[in-house]
Amino acid sequence: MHNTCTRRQWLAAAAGAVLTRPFAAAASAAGGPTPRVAIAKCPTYGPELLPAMQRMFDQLGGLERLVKSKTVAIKVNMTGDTSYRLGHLPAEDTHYTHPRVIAATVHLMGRAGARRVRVLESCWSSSGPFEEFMLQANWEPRDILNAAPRVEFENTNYLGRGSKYVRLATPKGGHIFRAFDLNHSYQDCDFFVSLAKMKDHLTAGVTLSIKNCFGILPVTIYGDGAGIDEPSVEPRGGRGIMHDGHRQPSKSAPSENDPKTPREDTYRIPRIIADLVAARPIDLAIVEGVRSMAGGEGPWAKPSRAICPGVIVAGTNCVATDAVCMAVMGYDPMAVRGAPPFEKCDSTLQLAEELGVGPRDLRRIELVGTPVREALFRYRV
Amino acid sequence: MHPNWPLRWPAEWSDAGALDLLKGAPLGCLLLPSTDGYQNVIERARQFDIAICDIKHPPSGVEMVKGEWPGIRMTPGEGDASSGPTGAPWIDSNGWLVRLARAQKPGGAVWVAADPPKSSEIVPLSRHLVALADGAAHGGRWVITLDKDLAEGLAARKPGSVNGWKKLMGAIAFFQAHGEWSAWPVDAVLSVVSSFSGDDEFFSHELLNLMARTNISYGIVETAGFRPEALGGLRAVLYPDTQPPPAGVRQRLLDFVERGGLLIAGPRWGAAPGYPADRSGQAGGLSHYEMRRFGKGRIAMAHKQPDDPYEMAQDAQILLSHRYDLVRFFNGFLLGGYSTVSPDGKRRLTHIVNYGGSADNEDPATAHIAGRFRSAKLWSFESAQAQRLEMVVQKEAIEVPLPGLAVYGGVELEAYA
Repeated sequence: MHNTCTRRQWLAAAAGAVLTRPFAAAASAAGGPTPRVAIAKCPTYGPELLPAMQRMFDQLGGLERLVKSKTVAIKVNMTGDTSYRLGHLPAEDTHYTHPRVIAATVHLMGRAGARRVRVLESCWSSSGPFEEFMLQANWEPRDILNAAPRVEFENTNYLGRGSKYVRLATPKGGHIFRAFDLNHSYQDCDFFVSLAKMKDHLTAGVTLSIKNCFGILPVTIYGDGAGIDEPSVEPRGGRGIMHDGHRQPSKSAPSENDPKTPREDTYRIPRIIADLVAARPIDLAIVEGVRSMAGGEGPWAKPSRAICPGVIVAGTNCVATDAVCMAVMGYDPMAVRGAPPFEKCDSTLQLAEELGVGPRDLRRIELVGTPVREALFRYRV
Repeated sequence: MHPNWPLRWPAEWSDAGALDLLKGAPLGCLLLPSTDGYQNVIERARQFDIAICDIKHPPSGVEMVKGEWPGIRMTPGEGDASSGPTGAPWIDSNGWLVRLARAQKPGGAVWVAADPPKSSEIVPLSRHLVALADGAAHGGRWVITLDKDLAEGLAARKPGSVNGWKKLMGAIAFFQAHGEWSAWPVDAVLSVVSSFSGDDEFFSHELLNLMARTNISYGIVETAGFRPEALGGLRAVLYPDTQPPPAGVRQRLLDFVERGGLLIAGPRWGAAPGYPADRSGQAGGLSHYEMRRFGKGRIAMAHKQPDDPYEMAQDAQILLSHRYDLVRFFNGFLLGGYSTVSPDGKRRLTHIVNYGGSADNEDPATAHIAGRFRSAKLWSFESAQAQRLEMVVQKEAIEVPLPGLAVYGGVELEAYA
């Protein structure tokens, strides 16, 4: 139903872009360096996973040059409560980043010489250790801890192990927020990875590496249970105040630039996410779509269905990587509000691009690995 | 199995003829507000071989406890489930109360009663069934307490009410048919050891209530009459009291730690032996506890005496670790589980109560149960025969679907020899 003539034209252009890389290089020459994005087919989480990811990182120029002797922080996607499933399916087969993808990434980071690897998530409504959150999802945290030397976990939904929150400023002042107060782990790292799931999203159109970073906001400051003046001690509930803007974050943190802007989540969330990835740049975006779900970002999205796209996408620029993901999902990365998947919301990619985070035009992106047309898996049927 | 199942005489019943409903019903005792002024009722009840007693004076051997109507607490006027501090639905259950009463008076029967609903309150039949299942699953008996509509409907023999009554009696008959279950002990990984009395009564009771809202399968051990075998098979012991334990109990608990167990306590326990387990001085990432090594086990000692039972219940779960969860529910937001084991250890039975009172077919529930089992079957009110469950075998655990579980399900698992 959404397979319009415009998209066909765009898919043709996308395929053409893959085949004519010199054009991409020439196009980007005028607008800065051309980001490279790798696509890999990977039908299962079995033995083919690690080689596929290794190959992708090699195609991006090798992990060693990026992470050797560095502290790497990896934000994974474990949205919502661990007990929520799409039917009887484990969360990692639908809306969570799969633990084997996390372990493979950690392993490859370690092999590339990372000094330390910190795996991060803001665990739903809990100040408990991240390992406990994983156990509740039936995961074995030791599989990830043992994947490389010096691996740590941190629950970033509150102060965590830090002594204070860190403030990260948004370049160009941001769409909604000029700065954010975050858990220390988002500053105490040399290299930041967004390890996301390839999904639709009810409010933001798509959940990819950029949207994954919505979860770096501590609910102690940006959540429904946030303290009024100071951050609350315990993280409780979700981030409803970011959605509807019915109140400001804790006063200890920077407030919105303009509290008179629309209080609609479809306006606010894409902008806040764009601000976040501008304030906390993503050094490596990895989007896992080996198995996933279509129709939303979690089982609460109705109707939704489990799918097996069998694909992983990675790149050093998050906007470019998400743009390629959108192409793989059968969407037009240049789509704006009104066009799929942004029928009701603004395009986070467009908003991030406006902040100078990266390009979403496939002609300005160098694609390596599996061509889009071979990896294509339409999320809408 | 105690033969009686109690019914509270409804205020709406003025005619002893209402007792005809009890003919053939699995009820054994009628609780009257007073034995005075109810002569007609008493005589009629005797014809049906139903015992009579004053609600304030239960029969000998019965411990009557004051409970509440189990279920999901609703936010007044909003139509939404009220939630606890974590955002999870707030489930009221009498399970802890029944279990405590049984622990304090082993061998006796426990009846749990709550005040009748207000006359303006609409009480769906499912709420009666949930209350009944909640009490019975934990080895007690809910005193059947009819709401105004149901009582009046029954007195008038309205078909809808009579049909509801039959379902209620069917649920009682179900638990009576499985009377042996009430003797199956809890399959606990942690026990709360306390006097449960005096200055520690409120805290320890509230702790049990709130522990039931975590996912810890816990046992209850009184310091009075403490027997060392009560610690058998446990991974952890929680001692919440503000008084040190009696010397004998203290020594047994330290023996338990030396053999590899975990003791969670506050500073009123007294000096903790052993040495700090790691340089951080923290326990399980909790900065308000120090973890000490002692023998093969550990002692998690709170820096200050816990004064919030909710926090202590949550801390216990973290300190013990979800690694030792016996049961986890997926899409089971309104489900509560109570794990028991047969006296011969060959079978496990997890009682599951759906406190929402209706099946969620949109988000079907799954139970993840630790252990390796030969087979699984589901007992429910809807069928006299158990339904075989397909098991998805995982590493040291199984998963079973819980199709259409409306009020109660008993998942019976046969262990490998």
